[in-house]
Amino acid sequence: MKFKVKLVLLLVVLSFLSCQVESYNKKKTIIIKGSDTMVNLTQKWAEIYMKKSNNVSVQVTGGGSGNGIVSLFNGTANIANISRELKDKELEKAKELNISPHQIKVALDGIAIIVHPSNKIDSLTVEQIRDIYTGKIKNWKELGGFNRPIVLYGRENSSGTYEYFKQNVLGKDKNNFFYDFSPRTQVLQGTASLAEAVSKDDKGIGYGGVGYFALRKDVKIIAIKENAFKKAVSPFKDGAINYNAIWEGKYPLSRYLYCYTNGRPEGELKYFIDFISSNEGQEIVKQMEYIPLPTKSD
Amino acid sequence: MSNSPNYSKKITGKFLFKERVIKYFFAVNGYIALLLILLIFAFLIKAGYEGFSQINILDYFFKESASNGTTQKLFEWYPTSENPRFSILPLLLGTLLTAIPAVIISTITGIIVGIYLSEVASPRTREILKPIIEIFAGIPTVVIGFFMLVVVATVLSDLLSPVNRLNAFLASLGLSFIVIPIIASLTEDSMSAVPKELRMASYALGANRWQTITKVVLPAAVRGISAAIILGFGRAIGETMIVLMASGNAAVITVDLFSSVRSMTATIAAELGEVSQSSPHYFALFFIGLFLFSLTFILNLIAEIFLTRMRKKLGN
Repeated sequence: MKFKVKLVLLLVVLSFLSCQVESYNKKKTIIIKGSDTMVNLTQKWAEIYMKKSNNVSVQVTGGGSGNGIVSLFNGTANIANISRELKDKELEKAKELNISPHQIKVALDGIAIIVHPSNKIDSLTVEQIRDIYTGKIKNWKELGGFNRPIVLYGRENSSGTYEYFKQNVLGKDKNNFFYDFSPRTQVLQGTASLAEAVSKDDKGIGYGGVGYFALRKDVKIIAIKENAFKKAVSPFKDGAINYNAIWEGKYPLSRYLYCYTNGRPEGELKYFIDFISSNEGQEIVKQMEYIPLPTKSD
Repeated sequence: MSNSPNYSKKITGKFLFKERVIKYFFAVNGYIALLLILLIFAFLIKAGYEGFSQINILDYFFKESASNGTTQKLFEWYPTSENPRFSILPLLLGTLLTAIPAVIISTITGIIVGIYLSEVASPRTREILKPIIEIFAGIPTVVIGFFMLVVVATVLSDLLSPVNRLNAFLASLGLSFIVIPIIASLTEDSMSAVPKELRMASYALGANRWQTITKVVLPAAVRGISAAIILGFGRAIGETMIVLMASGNAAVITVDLFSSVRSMTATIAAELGEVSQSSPHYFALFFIGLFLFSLTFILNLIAEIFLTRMRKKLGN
């Protein structure tokens, strides 16, 4: 008797195992590597997409845009997440390897600079913001504001916003190293607590993803000039995100985010990319505080 | 159930067995706790040691940089920079700048509360007050941190208008919430442990209550109170959440109490989650952990020595 029970149990377990192995084999895997800025967003896409279609597994890892390109070229990734255009060197390398990188715009991200609503300053040049955050400009007086020290608020050094700001605003010094933030920068966990801090500090200045500040009324968003001769552009207009300025590239602190595939995407890859560009995919972009692509009717 | 002659023997046998099981159960638990601490220590040492292959030990204190023909020592914490600097000095300074004021505030308040509880309050008041004070030590620190961030920070900046709304002083006020109960409760314990005969002798010599407290009871309990202060200091150094939320987290070299500072604990908490494994930054965070662990370990050891000595002295 006992032996029979054991045998039946064994068979049941085996049948379960075999089922699993089979369904595992049937699943197609999409591997995505690249930009750390896009990891959270891509993971959210992958999560929702995997819920909708059961037979695909999407694996997302970061490591930086450069890492993503290398992985796409050597075939260890199906999609490379890249937060910039491909460099000439990389295009040459692709030709050598007989790979045709295909660029797909998937979203945008942008950084807004915020101050306390009582601050008189409405616009700053990118250079002025750099001097503020590297500690060269220490008082609002130097920018034509009131005579008060500037209190800097920033993000922890592991956040994507920190890196973006460093690369695109602080820029490089004469040794070709990126400038570091002034050590006086107060580090806050998350955009929410940063906005909270700036809204309570009339000497404060902070930065964060454009999408988030669309909902805050207690901080003032600064318009940015690319240089002293250009017109100031604000990422917000009449209480909403100024999508046109960002889409047309007029706002200096925003950029497109791309997915690169080897050749035009086909099969499962195509379905996934289509999902990203669909209304649903772009709605996720908004939720994750990035900026969606231009709507097609515009 | 008849009264067989073996019955009572059986019971004792069972009883002995049960007792032995319980004894071993507790012994094993005790050793597991000890083993866990040793393992944590070994793990920290291992990770810290591996880090020395990537970061020179001197780099944890300063980095020499040559610019314009002169070399200068940089005491900066920039672990993710292209030119990384791992000096833990600003972080150590941040920790001390929050912990020391907190201990000073807590020592004064804590000893006063301890004296009141032990010498002045009626037994009934003591029964009610002491548990209430001890509950304070059990408030989740994130709640205290949030309270400091939202309520006290605003009050403080209205009153004193410091340059930084979140600063070392604010964090040390928050730390006092958890250090005062430790010092008050241990002060009360060590003062109550002073034998009644000493007090009686003092009164018999004509001393009043105040003289008895300051000249007889306090000196007798001084070792216990020192231990309380050291334990409180260790707690203040190791506390994370309050400092993370209230200190402003700017890694500057400063002794200004109203400047934003960044503590060692807050740095680990904020950065360890996202750091890539086995990178220099990762090892640097472990080095901070090792440093913190050794610091609090030594402090607790000193406190324990003080307490044992006091017990011996009062026992005699």
